[in-house]
Amino acid sequence: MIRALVWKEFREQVVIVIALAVLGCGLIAAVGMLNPGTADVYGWSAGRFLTDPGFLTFTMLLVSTGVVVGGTLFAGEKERGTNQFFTTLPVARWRLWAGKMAGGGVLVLAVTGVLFAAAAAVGVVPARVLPAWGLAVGAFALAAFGWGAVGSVLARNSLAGAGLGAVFGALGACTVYPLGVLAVMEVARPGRGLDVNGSGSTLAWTTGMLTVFALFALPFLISAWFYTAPDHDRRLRAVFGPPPRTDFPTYLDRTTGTTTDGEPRRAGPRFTLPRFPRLAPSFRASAWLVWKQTRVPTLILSTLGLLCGLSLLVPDVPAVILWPSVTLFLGVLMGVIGWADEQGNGAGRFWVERRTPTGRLWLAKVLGGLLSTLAIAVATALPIIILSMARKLGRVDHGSYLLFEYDFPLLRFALLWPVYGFAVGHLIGLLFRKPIVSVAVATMVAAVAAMAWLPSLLGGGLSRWQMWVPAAAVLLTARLLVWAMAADRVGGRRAITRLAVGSAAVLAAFAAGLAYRVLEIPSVPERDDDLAFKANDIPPFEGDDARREIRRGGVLLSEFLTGRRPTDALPAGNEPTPEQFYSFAYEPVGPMPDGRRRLTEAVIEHGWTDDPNLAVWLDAVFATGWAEAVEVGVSKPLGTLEDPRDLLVNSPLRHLNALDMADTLLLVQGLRKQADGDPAAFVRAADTVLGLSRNVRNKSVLACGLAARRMERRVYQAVPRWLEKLHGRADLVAELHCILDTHDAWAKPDADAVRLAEQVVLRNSFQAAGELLRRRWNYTQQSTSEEQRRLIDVETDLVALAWRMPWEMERHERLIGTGNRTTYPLREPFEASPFSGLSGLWSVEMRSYSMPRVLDAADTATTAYRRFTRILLAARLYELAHDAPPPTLEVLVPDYLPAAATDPAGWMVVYRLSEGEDLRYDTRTPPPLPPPLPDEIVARIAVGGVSGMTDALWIAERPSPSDLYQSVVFIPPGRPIVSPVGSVRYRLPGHTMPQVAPGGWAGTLHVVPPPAPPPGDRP
Amino acid sequence: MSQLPADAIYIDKLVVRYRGKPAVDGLSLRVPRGSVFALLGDNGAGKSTTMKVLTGQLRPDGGRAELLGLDCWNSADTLRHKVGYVPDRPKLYDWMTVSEIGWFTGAFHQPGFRDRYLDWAGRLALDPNKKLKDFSKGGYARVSLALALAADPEVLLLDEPTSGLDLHTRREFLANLVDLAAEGRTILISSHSISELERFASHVGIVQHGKITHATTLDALRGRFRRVGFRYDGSPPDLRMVGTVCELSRVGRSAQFLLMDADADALAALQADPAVSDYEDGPVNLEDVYAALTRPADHVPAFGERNGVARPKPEAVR
Repeated sequence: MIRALVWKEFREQVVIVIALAVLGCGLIAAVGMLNPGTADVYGWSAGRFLTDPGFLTFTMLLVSTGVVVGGTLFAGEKERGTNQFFTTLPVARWRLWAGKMAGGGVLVLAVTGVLFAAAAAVGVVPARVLPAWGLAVGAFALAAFGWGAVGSVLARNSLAGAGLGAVFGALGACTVYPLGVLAVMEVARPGRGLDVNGSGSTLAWTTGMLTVFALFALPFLISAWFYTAPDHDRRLRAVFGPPPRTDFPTYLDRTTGTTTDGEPRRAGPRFTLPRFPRLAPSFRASAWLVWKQTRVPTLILSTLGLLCGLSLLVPDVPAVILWPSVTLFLGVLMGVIGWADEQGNGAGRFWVERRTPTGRLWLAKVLGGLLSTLAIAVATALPIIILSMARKLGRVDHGSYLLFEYDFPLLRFALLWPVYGFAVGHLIGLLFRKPIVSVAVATMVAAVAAMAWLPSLLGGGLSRWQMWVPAAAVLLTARLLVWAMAADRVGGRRAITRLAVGSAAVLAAFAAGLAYRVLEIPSVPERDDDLAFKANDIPPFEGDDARREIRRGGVLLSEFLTGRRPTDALPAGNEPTPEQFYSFAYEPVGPMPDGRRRLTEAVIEHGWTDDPNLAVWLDAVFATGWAEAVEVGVSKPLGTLEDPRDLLVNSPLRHLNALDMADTLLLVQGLRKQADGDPAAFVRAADTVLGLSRNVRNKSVLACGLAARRMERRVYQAVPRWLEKLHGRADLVAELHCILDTHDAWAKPDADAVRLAEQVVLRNSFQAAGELLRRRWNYTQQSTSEEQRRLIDVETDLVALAWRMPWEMERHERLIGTGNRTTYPLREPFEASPFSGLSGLWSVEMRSYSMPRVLDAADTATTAYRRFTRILLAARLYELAHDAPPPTLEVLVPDYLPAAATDPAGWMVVYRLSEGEDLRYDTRTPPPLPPPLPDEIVARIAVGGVSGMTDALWIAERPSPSDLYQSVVFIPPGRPIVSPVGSVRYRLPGHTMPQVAPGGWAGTLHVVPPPAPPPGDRP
Repeated sequence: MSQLPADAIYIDKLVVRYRGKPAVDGLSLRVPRGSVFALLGDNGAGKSTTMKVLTGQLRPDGGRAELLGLDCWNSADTLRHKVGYVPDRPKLYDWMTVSEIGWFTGAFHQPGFRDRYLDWAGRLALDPNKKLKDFSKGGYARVSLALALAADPEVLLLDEPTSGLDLHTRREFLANLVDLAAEGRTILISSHSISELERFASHVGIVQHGKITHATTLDALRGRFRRVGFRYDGSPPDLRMVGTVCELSRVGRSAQFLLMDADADALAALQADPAVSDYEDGPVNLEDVYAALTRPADHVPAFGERNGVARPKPEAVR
């Protein structure tokens, strides 16, 4: 008998089982190859197991196998109509149950064995202790099988059986198993329960383990109890016995005369649709039918979705994986269930026999099904929505870093899965009679279809039409097949032709959407320029002594300023771990005492102060030898301090930051040595700082370019302080003048180089999504928990995988070429960026958009500084030679200046000798700035700290900030005043507000050369 | 000491409810051994529910049901070896062949099942290697009958086994039943093909609204009814004295009516009436009887009315 039952189960389920085994092996192999498993999982937490893609896939396949086979066992008989035959076989029900369970169990174990072998082969399951893993996996699959059998006993068809089994299994996993295991652990704990002596006896442990395994038998007992309920009842009635026999004649002749007049009329449908006056009656009837057919499934699936949604609240459950899985499956169920009545009960023939309009039925089913699917999705999201509202936050910190980024297309991501699940389920539900087959096929097809868009969603810039047109094509394909389904001619030539045409249309829609992803970004000729730039222009790593020495100086300086070595936290002799590498502890830059920073800056602005503490501190700073290292570095052939090849878009500029104070400190030391009688020290310091700025700026990114210009301007700010106290020494003035000449010859606009350097960084970023996103998602914080890091790992791996898709890679290649161009050909440059969905990486967009403006503004300001400083030096040389300031600038040409001085806008500089006047600053509001930047961008610039535009240029005696707009500075008679005309050519004698930077207000520039000290004061 | 019960089937005040509504409401029935008992009734009268109780598929909500002296519910497993059952719409495993379904079912029965099954399959002209899904309705029903008979049952329960079958298949099927009846098996059969049941049924039971209204031998039931026809001149004769008029039809001056429990003297007087000519008097078939007993009627027709049917007046239940 058992043999017959096993044979029957095998014959009936062999196709499903082989399909599960083959597809499962393929899936495991795919996941294993894309996500190489870890060889050792010891120490993994439960969350770690649940978030490992390979193990998760393997586990889900086991659950699916167990639940499907179990769910088909008994419900399949009812579904096929053979239950009456089966249950009237002349044996007790428990024998039928045992035979079926034996057959199903053998099948489940067979599939589990195949899947386990595949998983072990690709490394999803660790190779160590394989037998133990095999036992655990087998028990797990059998438990799922048992719960599937429970659902199967209670349900009327296989799909419902498997669904109920999944629900029961989930409930059991959430309640019975944890509680049971906890109870066992409590009982088996040393000193408690079975082990009161605390001796750690094996009896207690063995008993505990047996109890745990007994818990896995629970579903088998439940299903057996329900299935053999008639047997129990028979035994019970046998105890009490039937009612006593009574005697009555064999032949009756009885006429009752009963009529049916008194029977109550059957009530009509309790539900009445709201009035739809404009809809055709047939459509209203179709809507009513759909409502009746889907209301209960919608309620059940919403409840199921709600239960699944609760798990989204668990912090280390990856919402980015759970949400698609749950909502896609529920969508598939909704789509298949929409046709269950027509397919399962043969009601579809009604539509053919009555020649009713199937188009309206289809439309009603699509609309009703979509509404139901959306309701289920909302129910699934409800817990997290409520939590979010309760916290009054726009985002929830649990479950995902990716999904709750401000600009991530969350709604599109959330709707993609249920809608695709429904659409594909709707189509597949038409093709197969058995709902469980439809669900299995539709789940796989829908998952593949929806996942086609995942890379694009994660890449940003995906249009709505690209996502929804294929889904609409799937639904329209279903429309073509409704009549064939109703007429039971799905296998006919005409239906197959329609299906082929529809499938081709769907594939075409997919292909068009994906192709547009690539083609919407133009392939510019210069897309690969960065490769040549990287290979030829950037100094090679080997032999770049300047870079090495300057970096060494930066490390020494930052060590002193932060008070710790950057490698203190590292184990000796080991490479830093990623956590240490990205931790703040490793960052060589730390906070510097704010008072000393301000003090050194004040020296630049006002000259050396006789502060003994500052001198002592400076001696300590320079005792570390960093300045010598920097001097050695700048004396070498020009290098690149921050190499673009090492950077991502959100990398910290560690070496630059380490030298944040180097320029100021060098110049302050120069002024101090001047005060100590060594004016040449300042010239050396200025030369070093300018050399440093060249190494910072050379072939590097925008931030470095701006920082280099700031360093350079710092020199020009300090030069007047040096000149104020310089007695004679025309040689030093001439030497500095010469240094500026040399630097001026080098410091040409280099916007192209900066663009290419940024392009290199952009390319690096596309190729290192994991590092990029870990940095973004707080991976650098040591406080990040293990679970959060796992979550971050999952999401970064997902994005990295998405960015490796061929069409996304081609799109990225094109974006790399166009990303830094000012005239972006797309509708919205930011939306097209793959970083648009990832807040915090907006600086990429900002660089591409604002780089030319920022760079031009900084260049303008720096050039102005440089030219006016050269005028100062030329005027001083002239004054030393003639004991009087030059009457005009023209007298300086060509002996002191190579050409007539102009401001950065190209206008001649205004020069005059003061008659003893107050130099006043205009109190009026600056005029509007052409061209205006959007407020949002201005705000981002301010917040983002892209500085360099707003430096005020004060070379004259600087008023205090409170006097900025009402300052009156007395200029003695005979002193020259040099003023630019500015781009707006706005000038009044004594009242001037020239604009020197087109990108913003750059302050007022007045050059009042400091007078040479009288000869009597000369040392 | 065991003694075979006289009745193969004994049902006493059987009650079965579906969702609180009675499908069988106090049905009582005795089926003598060796009889071919035709259970007649309209759709929904409770025939199939009674069959399911007898085969142990349904638990009675009240009363008792016995087969061969065993409780149908408590001893269902035992009885399934002794009882053959052919449902109204048999559904087997379509993917199996005739031979395979026999082998599979035989695994649950006592030895000899498969041999008898193959024997019956041969007698019923079933190809052993043909898959069930390739059979027509008639073939499918024959497979089901072969399975039921292969257990060598003492009692055969047939729940509308010929529904949906064409005329020839139906007659072939029923002919097989005649053979079985000849072997002395007890057969309880429900069917709508009353005229065909009439050929071999020995007993008849009529079920209405979950109750047995009539249960008797076929001959006794038919003997209570007569069909009378005549022509008349002048005013119509008074028929109230001849018996209960169950059915009346009149065309011009010709009249025909169905009488139950006719008064022989009154009929003789009617025949002797000079105004009556072309007098005919003959037996009726089971279908007419069934229709007369189960057809609802609003009133007893008077002869002055054109046509009408009447339901027999309520009689005291014995």
